[in-house]
Amino acid sequence: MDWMLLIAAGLLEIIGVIGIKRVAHNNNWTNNIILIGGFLISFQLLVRAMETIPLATAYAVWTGIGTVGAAIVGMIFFKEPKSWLRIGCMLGVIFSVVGLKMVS
Amino acid sequence: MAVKPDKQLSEARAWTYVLAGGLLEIVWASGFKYEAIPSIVVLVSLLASFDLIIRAAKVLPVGTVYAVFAGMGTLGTTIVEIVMSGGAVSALRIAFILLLLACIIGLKLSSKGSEA
Repeated sequence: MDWMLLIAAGLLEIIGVIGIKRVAHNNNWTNNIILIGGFLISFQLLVRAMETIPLATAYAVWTGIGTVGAAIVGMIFFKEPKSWLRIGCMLGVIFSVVGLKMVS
Repeated sequence: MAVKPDKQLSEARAWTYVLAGGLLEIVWASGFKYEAIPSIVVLVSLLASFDLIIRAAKVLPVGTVYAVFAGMGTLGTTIVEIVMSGGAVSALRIAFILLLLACIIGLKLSSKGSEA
């Protein structure tokens, strides 16, 4: 359950990061609500997950999911480069997250 | 965050913002776990770190800014946990965290195309 909360927190962080991108380009109400709403709920879930998952693991997994998710969104919607290096890094993040779950 | 500044930040100043934002990030992330850090400190450091990062990202490449920011947070929280737990952190876990960090930085630094 705690890992489910952590993964959900990571997914909501992606929404927050999309908000950051949108606010940086166009600072309006909708984009600020996406940014603040995404992060607020994400933080709430992260705090709950941290009740049982150690700090360093929870933080690293949370940032990792946010990063991979934002990269996928970036590739699809913001025309970011799609290279094997990027895909390799994503697989590396997933591998490390699974590894961290196994050892905790 | 509220209004766009008229004069642009110097790059050196923006990097100072990134470093300060990264340090504040370690404070709030640790505060999520440890009650020893008061909620008001967590809230203020959270808002301040995001404000600094957003200001810095207007001048510096966003991918690089996030890579440094996430890297500082990951290493910082690992160090905090090692200190708080009196060194009881397994080497295997640290290895996975470092691999995760390396992949995050690789992913961020290779996102250049969107930063124009």
